[in-house]
Amino acid sequence: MKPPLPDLRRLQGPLVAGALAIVTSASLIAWTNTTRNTAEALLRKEIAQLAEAREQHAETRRTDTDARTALRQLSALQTAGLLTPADRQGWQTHLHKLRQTFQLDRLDWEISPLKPFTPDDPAVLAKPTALVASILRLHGEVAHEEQLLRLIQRPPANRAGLFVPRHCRLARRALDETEARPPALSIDCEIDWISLRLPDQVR
Amino acid sequence: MHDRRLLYLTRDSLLVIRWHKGEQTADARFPATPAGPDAFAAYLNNHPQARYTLLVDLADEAFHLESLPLVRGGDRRRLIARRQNQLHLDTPFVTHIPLGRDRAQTGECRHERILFTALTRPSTLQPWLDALGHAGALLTGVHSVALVGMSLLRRLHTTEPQILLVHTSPAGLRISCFDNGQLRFSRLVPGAAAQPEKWQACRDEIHRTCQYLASQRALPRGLKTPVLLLAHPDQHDVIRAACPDAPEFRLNLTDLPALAVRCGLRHPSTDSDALPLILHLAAQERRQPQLAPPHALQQQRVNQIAIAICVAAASLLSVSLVIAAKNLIDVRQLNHQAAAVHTERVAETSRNAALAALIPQLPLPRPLIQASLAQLAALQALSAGPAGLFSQLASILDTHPEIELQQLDWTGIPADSPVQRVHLEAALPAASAPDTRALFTRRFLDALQTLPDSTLNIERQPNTADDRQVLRPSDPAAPTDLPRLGLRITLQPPRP
Repeated sequence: MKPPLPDLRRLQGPLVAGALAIVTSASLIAWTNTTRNTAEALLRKEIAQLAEAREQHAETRRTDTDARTALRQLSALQTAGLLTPADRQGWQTHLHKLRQTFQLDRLDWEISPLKPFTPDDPAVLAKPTALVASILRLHGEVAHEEQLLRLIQRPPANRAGLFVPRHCRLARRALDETEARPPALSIDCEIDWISLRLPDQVR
Repeated sequence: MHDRRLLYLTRDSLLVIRWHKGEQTADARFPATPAGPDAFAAYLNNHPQARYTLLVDLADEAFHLESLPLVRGGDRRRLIARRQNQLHLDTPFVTHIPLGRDRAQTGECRHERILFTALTRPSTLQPWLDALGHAGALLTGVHSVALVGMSLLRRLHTTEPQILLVHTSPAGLRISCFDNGQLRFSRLVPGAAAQPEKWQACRDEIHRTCQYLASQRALPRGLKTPVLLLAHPDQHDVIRAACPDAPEFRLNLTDLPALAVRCGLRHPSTDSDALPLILHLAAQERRQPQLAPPHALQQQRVNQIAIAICVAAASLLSVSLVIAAKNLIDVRQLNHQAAAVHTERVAETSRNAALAALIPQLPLPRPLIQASLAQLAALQALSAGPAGLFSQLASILDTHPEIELQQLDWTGIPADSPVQRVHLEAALPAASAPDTRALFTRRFLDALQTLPDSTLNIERQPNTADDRQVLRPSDPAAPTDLPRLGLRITLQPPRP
């Protein structure tokens, strides 16, 4: 007699339970893994943003320090008179007075209006600046170099700005037997009267 | 799963005992008549979830002790199966019990002793097993009372190498022989327990069994074999009177209720019936030898597969729960860390905003200020102008009256390292001899070398032009121009 086949209905419950367990386990692990990945991504993002905020704070500190340093430097420049523009009228008066004193009939000059400072060699000034200058072009004849030195000095009553001779050419004038004048020096000089121009000064 | 029932099969009937946590309750009895299995089938249909264990207590048992070569694995299984077939037991209810290595055979332990035991009348069991099979009932195994006797002997903690164990049950008087704790032989004397002079009959059966075993060399001759008889203490005196010691055996009476209590039975029998204890051990002991053919335990295997699936599912679920719990704990920690970092970032941002609000406003862009300051610093070095140089040159020219300055071109260069550049032209006396001019020139140049941080570059020597010039008759005897010296001087500006 053939033995009866086993009743496989007993496996139905466990198989269903096993399938449910597999689905539940997979879903649970997938869900928690996704949640964990999301949390990790959020943490990474927050850490990156914190680093960025710290970098910004450090940059702000540097900017603050630099700004305060620049302000101190500007204050020092103001104290030194370097923020005061050239006194062209005073300069003119000073030169007239010297020409009269030294009787320099053949002395001529030209004082330019204030304009941005540009050196002879543009390569020297690699970066733009806020410097302005009034340029004195002095040419003519003087009796001797002492007169020249007086002419290229700043007016004694005015200590503002930076007074910088740019170049100076002097040559001994050849004697002309027909002239009754004593020997003289021919001069050709350029002097910059430089200052730092701030926006309110422009206004 | 907890509904467990023991089926006690004797020659006369099948007794169903419900077993729950050591409690035994007789549930049904089915006579060994043609109607019995049908009634049993109906009973099974009413209890489909129960697990059944069949305990057979029949006189139709066979025991064959064999010594087989000691092999392992598949060879051993094939060897045992072949030997089992050779025994022609003609029953599917066969099992074998390894009794250890056979030292007496060769002295080299190359053989092992195996006891083949069988229920030799399968027709007694088959109707009941068919009913179980058709009902799809879960049968955990078919055991015999003789095999359960090994568990009973272990509980007695006896040290005797050969011993006889005697007890009574509803099926009769059972006498089992054990060799070093392993079953060697067992026989049931049906109906002996029901006789009025049962202990007298018991003595006779023990005597007969000892003689048989001695003839089979299962017991040593000339020695008194210890016999353990399980009986209620109330009957010990009667037993001692009925069963005095004999030359072949020595009777030891064991307190059956006390032994049953030691084995965990809650309600031991009040007489000398050992069946409750046997049933208790059959229900409790795992991995007992069982006699059912494989197909009779198909449902058990299905059940084991179901249990394995459930265990695997539970394990999988547990592992996933552990992983999920760990992930969730990690998520919680990560969220806490993210919240802390977020708080820190917000604080940092607000600190930054507060600091930014305090930054003073500059009138000009800072790079423009820095470049202007750098340029002013370079220009400041030249602010002294040529006055200092003119003064030094005047001093030198005063000490060299033979040198007459003709032209001077001064330029201040406001580079990173500001310098003064001077182009100088001087005249020497025309009437002087070349050697004298050279001497004047050298002295003048030596004096110029004393200028601090200066570099001299001679562009024109007073004599060189004369030496290179071709002189012709049309040329005047002496040059009209004064001999000239051309120089280019580069020097550091005076420190302001």
